[in-house]
Amino acid sequence: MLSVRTLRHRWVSLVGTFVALGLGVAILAMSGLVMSSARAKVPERYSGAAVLVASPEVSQEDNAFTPSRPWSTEVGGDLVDRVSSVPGVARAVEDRSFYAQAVIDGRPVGGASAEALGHNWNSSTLASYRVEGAAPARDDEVVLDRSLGLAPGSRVSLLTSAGPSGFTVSGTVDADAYFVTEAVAERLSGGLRVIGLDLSPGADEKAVVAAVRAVVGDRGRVLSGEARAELEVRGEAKVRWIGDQVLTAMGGLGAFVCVFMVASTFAFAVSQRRREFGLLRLVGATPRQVRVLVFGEALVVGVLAGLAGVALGAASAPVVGGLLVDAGLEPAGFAISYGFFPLAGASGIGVVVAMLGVWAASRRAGRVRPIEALRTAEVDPKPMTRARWIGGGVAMAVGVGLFLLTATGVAEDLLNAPLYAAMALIVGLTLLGPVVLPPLVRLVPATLVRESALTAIRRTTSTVSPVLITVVFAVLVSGMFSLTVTGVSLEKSMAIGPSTVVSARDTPGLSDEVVSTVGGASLLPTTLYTGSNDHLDAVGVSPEAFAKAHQGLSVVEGSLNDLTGTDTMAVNSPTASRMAWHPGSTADITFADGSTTKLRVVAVFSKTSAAASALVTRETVRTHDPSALTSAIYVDHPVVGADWPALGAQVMTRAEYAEFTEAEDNRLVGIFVTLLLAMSLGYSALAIVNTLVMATADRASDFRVLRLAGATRRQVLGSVAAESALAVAIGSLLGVVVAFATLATLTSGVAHNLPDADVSFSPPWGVLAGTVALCLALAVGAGLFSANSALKADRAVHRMRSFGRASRGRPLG
Amino acid sequence: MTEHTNTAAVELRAVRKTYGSGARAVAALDGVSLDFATGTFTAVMGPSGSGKSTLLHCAAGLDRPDDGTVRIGGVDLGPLDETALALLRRERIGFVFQAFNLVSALTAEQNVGLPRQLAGKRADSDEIRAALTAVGLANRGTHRPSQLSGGEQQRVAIARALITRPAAVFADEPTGALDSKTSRGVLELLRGIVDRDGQTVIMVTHDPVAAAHADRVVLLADGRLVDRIDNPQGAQAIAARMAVLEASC
Ligand SMILES: Nc1ncnc2c1ncn2[C@@H]1O[C@H](COP(=O)(O)OP(=O)(O)OP(=O)(O)O)[C@@H](O)[C@H]1O
Ligand SMILES: [Mg+2]
Repeated sequence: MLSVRTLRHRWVSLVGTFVALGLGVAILAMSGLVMSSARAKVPERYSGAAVLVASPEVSQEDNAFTPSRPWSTEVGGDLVDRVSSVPGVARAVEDRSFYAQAVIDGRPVGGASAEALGHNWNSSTLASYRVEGAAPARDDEVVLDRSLGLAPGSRVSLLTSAGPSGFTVSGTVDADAYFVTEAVAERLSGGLRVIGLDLSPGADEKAVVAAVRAVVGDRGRVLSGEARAELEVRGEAKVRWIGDQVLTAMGGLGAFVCVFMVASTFAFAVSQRRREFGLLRLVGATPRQVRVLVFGEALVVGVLAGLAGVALGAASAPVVGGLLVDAGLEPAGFAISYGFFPLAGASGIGVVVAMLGVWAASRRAGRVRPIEALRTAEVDPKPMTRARWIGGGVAMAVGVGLFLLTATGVAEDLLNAPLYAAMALIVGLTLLGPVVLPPLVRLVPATLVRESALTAIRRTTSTVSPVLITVVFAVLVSGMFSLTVTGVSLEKSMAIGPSTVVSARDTPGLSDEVVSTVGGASLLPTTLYTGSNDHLDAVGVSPEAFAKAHQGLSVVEGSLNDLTGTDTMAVNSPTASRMAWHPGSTADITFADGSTTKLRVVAVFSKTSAAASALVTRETVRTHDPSALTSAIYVDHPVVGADWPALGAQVMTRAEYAEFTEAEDNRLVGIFVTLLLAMSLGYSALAIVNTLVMATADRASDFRVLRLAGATRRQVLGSVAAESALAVAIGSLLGVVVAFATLATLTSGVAHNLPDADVSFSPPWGVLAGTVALCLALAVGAGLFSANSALKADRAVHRMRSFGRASRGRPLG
Repeated sequence: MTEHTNTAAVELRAVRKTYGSGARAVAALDGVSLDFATGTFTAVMGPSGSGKSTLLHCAAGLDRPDDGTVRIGGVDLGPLDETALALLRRERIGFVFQAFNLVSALTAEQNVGLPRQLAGKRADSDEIRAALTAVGLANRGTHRPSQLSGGEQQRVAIARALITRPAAVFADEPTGALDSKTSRGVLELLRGIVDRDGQTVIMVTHDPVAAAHADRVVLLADGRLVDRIDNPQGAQAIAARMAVLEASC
């Protein structure tokens, strides 16, 4: 096959495409594998229960991973009774979860993610644990994880929402859980959310499910088989969701850069091979045959790169998976399962990208006229084709349009719309390069470098665009995450005055014992369920916190003075307008314990002035949500005398606390930025090196003419370095404009949505400088390297034979 | 100057070709009518810039004239689209140029077999070897163009022209970069194509010695046919006519 023959010879020019495509496929395969492996699993706790009945799901639109709405005591009890009498059901087991954490060697074990590991002993029968010792018989007995190293009979201190209390280990299991008596679990857990069913031997699961569904009706969900994965721990779902965001962003960015690079390297390769195609046409190849040749090469490259990419992706998936687990972006115990579809899909996409990328290039190749084989000088006769005008115009219009939508806050997806806009502008600028670049190049004083860049404007465009894409993404990725929204938050108003903050350490939150020891202003988050599947995130404020909130919050309607007792709440303005609530309205609110009470709205405060949608009194939360933990306590007096580590607490100055919370935020952002930055910089580095090597190797004859005209080797290399630097300068300039315009529109869009907040981003000067320096080093290095080898090869050829009329070589640029 | 033959392999009628427009317009061909009879060897000569290459390109269907008609084997090239022109070239036309004759990615053998391969036929390796032997390159078949000298590359191009037995072979300064001995070899090969196989050769050259191998020499100046020498008797005579022509313009 002709394609294969030409390919074998031309592999140098295709190696860049191959690597770009291979990396793109590897990134897609890797993120596909990790994402598909990160699917929800049936929790081990329920592995022995064929059928589960769960309380109604609530809307998860806000991605807050709110737990399902619990049943009231009456409904729960009724369901247990009625379900257990369904034929085929041997037993219905209540499943309760609450916060519990053992303190060993003076420190809580399990860290901040140990959220709801306490359960009632009966629910242990829903799994098939290996139990040693006895079930908890008394209210101060517990069965816990064998790996904690506590033998039955030993004493242990357990932290619950009330505080630490002493338990006796009655037995151990092979699970990360704490099992206590039914009475204790019921007291600590609030409302019932899950009932597990033991089926009688030989019962028909399908029939039982149908019968149970008939009994439960719309009061809950009946889950069996894989559907039981719906009951995975919310914390894990959340962690996985964050991981998915990173992987999606990586995959999306990777795919864009990949398509872009493949298309531009193919286009570049075709423009360099015009003579070869002309010659083929000369000896009788039809335009179609030339197109097929180019397609054939792309297909071979696509298939090979697809296979290599899949291998690389499969090999790197466990490594990246491990990194994500370490970073807390995937739940512990996460393992890659090698599915067929992510791998086949990624390699298929690779081939499709190669085909799409080569499409325009092949059409151009097919239009090469046979006479071009005979032209000596290679000047772009018509750098702007009609397709380039149209494509470039459309891309620019899309980019600017998305900018306008974002800046005015109309765009729904504020995070992605500006990204798409930037991508569209990159494509547009690249396509319109032959018209956009000359005015910029003309800023350079008239020299050989300037003229040569102007004459071969398409080559200049090819070398500028990878720099453009690198600078845009580096600045965008790091700038976007530096976007800060500063408003008067509840936390902030608490922090005014107090010098000390007590916060959780090694625990998901603070127990009541810490709160009563410390006093001060404390915040106790909970969830309020309203309507059929709606919910509000609420904070219970202590009297002292309330006094501070009073000063800090900007109240729009009503008065915070009326926030008293256990039957009042204040809501923020979006919630008030969504629910059509006003001061004086009452609403049925269901709490975490499943009970429903009427709460009266007493005040409406502005959206940015609190971190929560609703405020209630601390007393209200404590009455209805036994498992709730306090997030932070602000005190304005020195705090002394308690074993803070054992209580899972830490005492910090205000400044330390601010740094601590920021560090946690920054850690996640840091991982995000590092991953995306590493990927896009790595990719672009490749693109820059590749295009410069291609562009410079192509100019061997120019160099020969220069040398014959008396230029020293140094002078030739100097002009190559200057041209590479010019491309980097132009690419960086355009990149900075696109990136900063994107950041500015994003800022303005966010500000539109949050009118009373102060929105700003810090320009990532450091990243910008680093990126430009990297581009410069790569471009000049690659240009010099390839010019140097072209000069060497040329000398060798000269020695071998004389080139008759060498002076007929191309005139300079 | 006009000439008509019934057995013309290539016919040009009032062919005009202008490059550029307005003040910068250059009439590269200014109404040329010319027949190249089947089985003849014609040399096209003239001062630099006189339109020789343009004539060759138009006659071979590589470039479209602005006016006038070109026929190859009686087929008018005007209405043909790119694909049809390609098929015509593949079947009826061979090319030999001063440089850039060969696809650098392919070996000499593959280059020779290229027209066959493009036609979707299996290139017969015996035939290819025979063609390479005929041009004296029997043992260079697996070499790539970069491993061949200029004269060898030209001979490979001739071998390619031999294998398809094209009706017309167009050559543009095929000996321009060769020493006199190698030139003679190339010219004898072209002569052989005409004498042995009855093919038609049209060759642009600056060299009276090369032109002396032709049956006829046509002279161009400023895009017009200005003179012709039938059965040239030696290089001296041609050189003398050229000198007259160059002096007059
Ligand atoms: N692509 C082109 N664009 C503009 N002018 C052209 C082009 N090709 C040829 N010309 C002009 O047309 C005229 C004839 O060119 P042509 O190449 O046919 O000359 P030639 O006789 O082959 O010359 P030489 O002996 O130097 O090869 C010249 O004046 C040349 O400058
Ligand atoms: Mg010429």
